[in-house]
Amino acid sequence: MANQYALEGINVLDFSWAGAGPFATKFLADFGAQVIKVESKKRPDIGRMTPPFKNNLRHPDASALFIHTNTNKLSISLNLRHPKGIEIIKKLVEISDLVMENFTPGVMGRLGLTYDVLKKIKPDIIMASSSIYGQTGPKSQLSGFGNTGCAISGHYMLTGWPDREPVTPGIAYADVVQPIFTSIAILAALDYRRSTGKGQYIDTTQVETMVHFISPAMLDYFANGHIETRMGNRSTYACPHGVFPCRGEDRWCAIAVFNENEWKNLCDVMGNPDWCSQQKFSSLTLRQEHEDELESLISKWTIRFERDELASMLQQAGITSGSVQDGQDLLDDAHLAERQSFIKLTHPVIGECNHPTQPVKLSGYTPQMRTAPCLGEHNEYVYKELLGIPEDEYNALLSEGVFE
Amino acid sequence: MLNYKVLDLTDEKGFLCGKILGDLGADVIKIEKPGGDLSRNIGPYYNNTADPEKSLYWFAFNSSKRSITLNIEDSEGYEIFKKLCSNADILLESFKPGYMNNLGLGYKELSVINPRLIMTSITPFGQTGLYKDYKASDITLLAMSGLLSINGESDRPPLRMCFDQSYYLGCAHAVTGTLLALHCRHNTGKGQHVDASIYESVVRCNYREPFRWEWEKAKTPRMGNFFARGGKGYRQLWPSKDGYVTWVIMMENAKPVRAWVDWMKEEGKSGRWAEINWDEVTSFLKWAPEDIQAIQDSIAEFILSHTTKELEAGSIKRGLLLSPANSVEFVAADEQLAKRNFWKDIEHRELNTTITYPRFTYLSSEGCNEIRFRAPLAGEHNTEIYAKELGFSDKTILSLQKRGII
Repeated sequence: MANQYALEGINVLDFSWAGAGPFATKFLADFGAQVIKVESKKRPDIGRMTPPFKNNLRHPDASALFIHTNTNKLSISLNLRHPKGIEIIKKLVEISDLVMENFTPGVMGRLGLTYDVLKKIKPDIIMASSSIYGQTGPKSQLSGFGNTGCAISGHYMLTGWPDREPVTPGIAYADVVQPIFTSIAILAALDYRRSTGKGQYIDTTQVETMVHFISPAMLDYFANGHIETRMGNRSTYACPHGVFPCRGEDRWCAIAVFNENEWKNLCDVMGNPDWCSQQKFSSLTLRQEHEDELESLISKWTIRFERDELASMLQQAGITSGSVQDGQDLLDDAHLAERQSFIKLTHPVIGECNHPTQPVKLSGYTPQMRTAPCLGEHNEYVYKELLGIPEDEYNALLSEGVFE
Repeated sequence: MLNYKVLDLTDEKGFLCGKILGDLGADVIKIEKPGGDLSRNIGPYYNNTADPEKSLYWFAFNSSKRSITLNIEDSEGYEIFKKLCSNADILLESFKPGYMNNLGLGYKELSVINPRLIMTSITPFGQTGLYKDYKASDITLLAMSGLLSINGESDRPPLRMCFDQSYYLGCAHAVTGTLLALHCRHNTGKGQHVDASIYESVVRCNYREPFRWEWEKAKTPRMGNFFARGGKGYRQLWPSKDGYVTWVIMMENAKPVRAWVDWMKEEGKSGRWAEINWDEVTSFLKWAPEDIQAIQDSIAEFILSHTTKELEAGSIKRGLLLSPANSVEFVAADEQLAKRNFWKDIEHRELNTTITYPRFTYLSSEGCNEIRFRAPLAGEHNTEIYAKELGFSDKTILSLQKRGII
């Protein structure tokens, strides 16, 4: 009973590829939507060619990274350059609720698959396009990579040490932010369709979503003319606030002190050395004025401890703290294990390995997790069962290269 | 787009969730402690004046919401809150796990009053698990998620991202969970408890490191301005004549580099790269590391001799994959955002001014997704909601006020 609903019955025709698109449709698939991923054998999703690979084999079905953004999906291979390929797409549109794509703006139009065309086939269709800079406007044709949206929206320039160049994120950050908003847009559109019967066209961009994640800086500029800059690990309203060295090589612990009570607790844990009671550390403002010195004094104390030992000692004293973990730590993290953030599934080529689940849990719904599809794995199911293409016609299309 | 009633008890960890719902059309009522939410004391401030009614941080994430004040820990306040819940679709909260239960306002109790209610909890670690009671803030959550270990420079400590990225990530995920619960409610008639973990939201962003470890037993070091791919780093920040741009060499796709070389040729700056037969180069997978470095150096030199504007125009025309790394004044002046009508002036009558805000998170052909009005003053809608919507008499309101309940 509990698992009967969520997005069951929602059909998604998914042209998306690389990072930002598939990440959004993974969300829909993990919560029960039937997501049909459209690829071609000639040009599979570039995500399939992204390392790490099983046995270092560069093969479309061997990328361990690909499987993380494509769980629970179905994959078909289809030649969109073949006129019959487009005919098949139109048949799939008839049975779809949503069409998702993240090509460079204009590509869907050249395929003859604009929203207007789709709407004629299925009047209440929802179409979502995800791009860097938008479907309209003078810069819509700008192409980029996973961090382009981050750079344009101001994130680069706000990240880093004040005395050095900006620091770019260690991941393709916009590629993981934008898809959450694409999912929001799609779920809101489904809600809207339920109450009005109308579909809609959705245009999400990396740049616009990322601006929301720095909006206090934008308001500060518009209201005060102030250009926010880089402040390393420091905070305007907490001090100390940083990452402190621990025993061992490249071991660190983050510590944040938001009020005088927490500062007192920190001094207690450190054994109240004389410097703690100096006037210059006696308030937030004063500590901020002497933050270099303060950080160096605290570092001399933190370096004596193991990372996790320090974090837990501070937690017990009521101080906000956390170990700087790495990929290995995450796979060993008891909390994440308890919450099933990663679960083991068996992929036919890659074998048994971890797959990430969704960070938000619903009390009445447990996602059913299935590994990502191999390229074209569901051709027969989609073409024969869903579309009802008879065996002989299927074979004819196959030999004509329509399913390439 | 959405026609729902939302009660929002969150602090800064959960602000953005209600704001997104409010922009989508939901009636979001922020419930603050009498005297106002403590999170109003986060800067920057309007006119740089520290004042709980002038926090730009608060403005940014609480627009499109109304506000009432209410002490839910007081027994009368508790009853009023339950009354509000009986008529709400969604409750957002970011208290420590167990706090609402201890007040008798956990999901179980509230779902008895209103079985259709969806309760969304946005907390550092979620409602269950080993760390659920840990104290956390943005920097400690980013630290634990592994993002800090790959962000920054090798000769300095792991580096935080700007503002409170972890909270915004948790909030965006919380919205998806809430909308999903609404979808389920349509089928089942029942609400549910949505448990959004900020930690897990950030861990989800760290898509590479756990799997690099699982498959390669390798960890990515902090590489400053380098983009990590396949165990290697490629520079992604380049100084131009007047600023910075981002660009990265794609090992498996030589097309953008060829476009660079074509441009360099036109300006007589292509050097040895003009001699290569580019028709035969589809990727750099077989190139020697020195050559990969050398071509990047040539491109770097070319970038440095051009303004950011020239480079951006060249990139759009030629498909270079380059874009500007903007500071906020260039974000504000961006022609594309202006053309898409991305900014909206919102009136702040008490400040006798208007402030420009980002208008929408995405565009829809049906409209209905944009900032509607400025963030509320603390308790600004007490009369509107308590008198007009709950039907309290002036006398009752005054008495509740006097006793510090509202």
